[in-house]
Amino acid sequence: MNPLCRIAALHPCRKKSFQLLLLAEILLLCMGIAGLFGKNAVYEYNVTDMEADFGAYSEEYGGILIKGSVLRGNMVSIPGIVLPRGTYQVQLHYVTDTDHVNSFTVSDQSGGQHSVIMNTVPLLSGLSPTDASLWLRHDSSLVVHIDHQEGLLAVQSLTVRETNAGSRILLFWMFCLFAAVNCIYLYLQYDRTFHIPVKHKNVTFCLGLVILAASVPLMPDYMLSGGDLGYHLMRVEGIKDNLLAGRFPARVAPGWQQGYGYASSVFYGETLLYPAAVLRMIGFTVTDSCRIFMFGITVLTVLIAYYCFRNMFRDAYIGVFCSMLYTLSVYRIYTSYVRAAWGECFGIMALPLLAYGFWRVFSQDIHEESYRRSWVPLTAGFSLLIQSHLLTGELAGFFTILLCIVLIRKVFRPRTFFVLAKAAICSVLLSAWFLIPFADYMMTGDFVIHHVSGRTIQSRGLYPAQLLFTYFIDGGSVFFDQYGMADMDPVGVGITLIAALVLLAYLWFDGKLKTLKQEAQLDRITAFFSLLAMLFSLNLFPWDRIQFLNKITATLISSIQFPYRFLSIANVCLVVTAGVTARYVMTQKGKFYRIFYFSGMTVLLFISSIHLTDSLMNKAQPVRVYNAEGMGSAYIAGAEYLPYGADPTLFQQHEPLCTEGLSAQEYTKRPLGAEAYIQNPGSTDGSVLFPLLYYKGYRCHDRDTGIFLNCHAGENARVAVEIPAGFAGNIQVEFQSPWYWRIGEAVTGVTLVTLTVSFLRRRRKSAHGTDSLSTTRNR
Amino acid sequence: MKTKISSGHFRTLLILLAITGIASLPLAKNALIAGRDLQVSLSKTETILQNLGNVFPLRLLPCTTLDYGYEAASFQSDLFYLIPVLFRMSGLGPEAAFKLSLLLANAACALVAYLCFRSCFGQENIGLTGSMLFTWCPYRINEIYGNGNLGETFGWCFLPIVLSSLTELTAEDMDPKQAAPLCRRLALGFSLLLLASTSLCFVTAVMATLFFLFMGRKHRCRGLFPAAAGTAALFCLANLWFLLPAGLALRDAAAAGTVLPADISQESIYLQHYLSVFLWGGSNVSLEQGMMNVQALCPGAAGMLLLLFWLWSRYTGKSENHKSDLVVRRMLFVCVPLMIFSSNLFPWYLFQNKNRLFSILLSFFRSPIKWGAPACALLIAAACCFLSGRKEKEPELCRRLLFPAAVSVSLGTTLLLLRNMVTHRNFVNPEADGYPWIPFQILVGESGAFRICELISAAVWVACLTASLVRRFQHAEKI
Repeated sequence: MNPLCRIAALHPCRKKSFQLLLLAEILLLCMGIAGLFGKNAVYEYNVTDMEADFGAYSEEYGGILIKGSVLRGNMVSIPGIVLPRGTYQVQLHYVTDTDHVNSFTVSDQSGGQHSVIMNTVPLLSGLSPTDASLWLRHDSSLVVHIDHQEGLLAVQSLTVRETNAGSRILLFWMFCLFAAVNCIYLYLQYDRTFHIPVKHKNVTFCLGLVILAASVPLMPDYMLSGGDLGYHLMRVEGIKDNLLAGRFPARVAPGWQQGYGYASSVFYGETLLYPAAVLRMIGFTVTDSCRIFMFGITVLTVLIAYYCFRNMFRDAYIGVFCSMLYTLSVYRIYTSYVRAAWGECFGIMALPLLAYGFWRVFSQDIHEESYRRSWVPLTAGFSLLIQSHLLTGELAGFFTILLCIVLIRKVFRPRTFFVLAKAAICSVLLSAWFLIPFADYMMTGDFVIHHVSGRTIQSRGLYPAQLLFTYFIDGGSVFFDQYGMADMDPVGVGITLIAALVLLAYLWFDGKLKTLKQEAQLDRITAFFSLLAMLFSLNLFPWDRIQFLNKITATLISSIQFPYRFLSIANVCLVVTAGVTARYVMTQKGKFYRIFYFSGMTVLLFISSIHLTDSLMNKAQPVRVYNAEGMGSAYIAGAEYLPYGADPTLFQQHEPLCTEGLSAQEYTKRPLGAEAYIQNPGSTDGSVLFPLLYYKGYRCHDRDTGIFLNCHAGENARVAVEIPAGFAGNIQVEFQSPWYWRIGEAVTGVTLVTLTVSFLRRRRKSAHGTDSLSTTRNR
Repeated sequence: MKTKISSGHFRTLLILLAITGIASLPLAKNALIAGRDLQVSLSKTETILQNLGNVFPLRLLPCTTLDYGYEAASFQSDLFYLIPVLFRMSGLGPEAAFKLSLLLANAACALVAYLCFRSCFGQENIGLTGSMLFTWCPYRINEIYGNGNLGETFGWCFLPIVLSSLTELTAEDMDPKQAAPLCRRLALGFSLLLLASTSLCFVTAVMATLFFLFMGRKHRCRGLFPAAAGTAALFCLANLWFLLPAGLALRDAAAAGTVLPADISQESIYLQHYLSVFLWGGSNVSLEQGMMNVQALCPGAAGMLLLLFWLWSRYTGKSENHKSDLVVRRMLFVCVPLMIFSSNLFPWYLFQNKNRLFSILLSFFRSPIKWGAPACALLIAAACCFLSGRKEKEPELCRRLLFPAAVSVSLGTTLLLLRNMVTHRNFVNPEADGYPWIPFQILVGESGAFRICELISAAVWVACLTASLVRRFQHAEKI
């Protein structure tokens, strides 16, 4: 009987205790749902509620104004804002002519630091009112402080709107808690009735420990400051903004660069970031969403690695062991927390699927029934890589080609070729929704990313000593060519995996691996690949020379950015070698050697990875970002996806800029769009420039007649609309995905549905087959 | 037989010396680690030294002009400051006297912990392991060197007395006739704690209360409550010389513990701190800085690993119905609320600035971090209890794996912590010119009531000591 049938056989719903539990949960959920309604209070505060430290009332601006003054500091306070516990949107109505200079904060009037959860909100010209989220832990009397540093600032009014985000968060936690309680209840009942084997319990316990150890940096109420953290948080905000605006999938993030937008989503797959955006939509703070999301990624990494390595080595304990080595590897910790390179972290999560998939394709008996399905892990792995981190996909692709060359004879076996082809095709189809827009922009656009082939990477490679490091600590330097290894970032593979490689080499030279028939070739290939990948990561490897061989190598190599990215490949290959040595120890050696080997490797892992984790916690600056405004909107990392020639420092909000003779009225700025009434009474054509960053997909049409106007990139890559002579009407500018992008999305959708249906049908068929077989046996 | 006993004792002595020696490594430097409370400790020593012989007993007044310590807990008895004072009187400088006091504290802690855990769990190896885990507990190491609070340093020496008494009192197979002696021992432990550190005594008292609450109805024997009540009375009488004046002084609102941080919850820790393995011995206590440069406030990896082993054996059914299992579970039930009290999860700020009673109670411990002391001590005791149970059931496993693992992990992590403290923390030389001494004042001219209390306390102590000696003599005669 399979586990699901056994759970059904427990008949939990017939048990009184479970019925009572369910009843209590349903009641609480109903209360939680009821709490979603009625949260719509609005609190308004105008000039009469304000206390001005400096500035004076201006009739023109309708608020307290300061202009051209050197006075700095708290300009206006709005005290006595009494609010009950809950969540709110704070809208400050203001006028300013600067960006990210003036700001406002909300604090507890009593001086306590626990009640208010909100960052300082910068004020942006042209983006009034603000719409910042506020979380209030308990009933408080608040004060809003508006801070003036430079330029013009007029404070007009404040609106605080209650939202039901707090209730949504509570409901979410209730769902999670009840699901956990129900699972534990069923687990205990299952154990009592069917007696779960000790081996399964050992595996569950150890996996739980691995998840706990890998999640320690996520436990405090803040995030660790990582290099790319701000960038990825903004990607999540971009997805959230698009989903809230009804745009799916997200292509251009509207909030970036003072509202100009940035098409990061088109170039950098964001499939896995959608859950984080959903958490933000539920109402969690940026920090909490990030922590919950990364916890989910950690759990997935552990489970995917366990599944893949368990199946490769046909032993649950080796699966746990390899999962531990992989999830707690130095490079993964470095990528996830020091660099906060989420994309690469997702790539690391997917790589075991490739290792497992290729193992099945090239090691499994091609006549076995299950061989036909060995394309599945490859498809899953490559799809994940393409849609989360193309660079890791590029590296994986290179090693895939190399693997196919090494095993060329096996590749051209008909069944193997078919499986590989199916994997490639399904990966492309599943990723079509991302690949088509990506290819479109890469082939037809001109972005910064097209002009970085001159960027060299060899100087960013590692020293050989870094690969043999044992005690890693959180450093600050990644410029090894300038500062050597002094205070270096913790980049390496860790002593554990090196020890596994050394042990493998010893066993190989001693001829002991011949006893492992099923691991034949696997050990040599993974050892060779790991050594090659580690060699590629070094500054000794002549990357610069290879880069300038031709244009293709220049493009490919410059896109890698850092040679130590190859450590992601080295990591998975080294873990496989560790699995091979573990398999040898498990099958050929006695209890003492087994305990010695596994505890020895665990100790080595402790002194490298756990040491690094503790060091990170001790040295990393805490980052507490609650609302989106707390992280700003200008950071675009290397700006690779900016139209070439655009200067982002000039991106400021403004009214539509018309050529001579044109006029613009009733202008409204929207996310990824704008509306205005344009008149061109003259006899020559003119144009209007909008404060939006132009990407292919922006269109403009007359709202009254539906006629499309010519829309293109204008000065500094801003959206420019051609207005014909004599035109007068309401125009609407908006970003819309081209029709062929939609076809790509449909292809992905259809492929996904087809694969899912096929999978379910096969499962049902095999379940029927098992049932009829057991019925026949019973007869 | 005689040779065997001698070699066994010699081995024990060597191990205890090694434990003490390693815990005292930072004292080998020619300066003192600049702990938070070091200035207060050194200044108190000098003040007592200058006034000894003029006034007895010496009562230091809280220094209200400086934001040091905490008002209510400044009602310290400061008795153990007499130790460095004695060293100073013998001609040693402030630094040497303080270092020798710390060395003595380490030795006392190692010995007391060994005796208590050996008595409690009935096994020599458990006593030694418990002594090692306890003396090298990162929380304790941080208290000695990171904080430099001499009172709390000595207070840690007496925690094992309280822990072992509570463990034996709540044991399943406890003989009701043993309740009274155990309660007396408990009273002694609390008395010594009170004499060392008021805040540590307070949090330990709450721990003891939780212990009794989780004891279970069937274990609360008839003889226990009268014995406990009598013990409480004995405790109060023995310490009347200190408790009555402190209680009277607390009537003054200004003295009653208003010197608290603006937000008491800011000085708490994260729960995952208890899981820390490698420690850097920083000085940060504020939540605002997160765990950056945080103090070492955890029980240590060795103890936690043993408890993880226990959890695994419970989950897989390897340790069901073993008697030590019940004790470990009870200890962990008590640990959980203590850990939560020490963490940012407990909303201490809700009790702040509410009324005088809450202010006094908060100021007794001042910082939620203090709850970590009994929590860490109890976690170590639970680990030892698990080890003792395991040793009975699987002695080979303990001998080959658990004991070596506990020793090596504890040794490795302790040496790393000590090394980090010595290399990363600032040092001060109190004998250098310009050292900022705090001008503590002595309470001069005590009232008659205070004198009567001192007489009562002295009489009680003498009576207890005499009774104890008589009982030992009678017991020895019987044998």
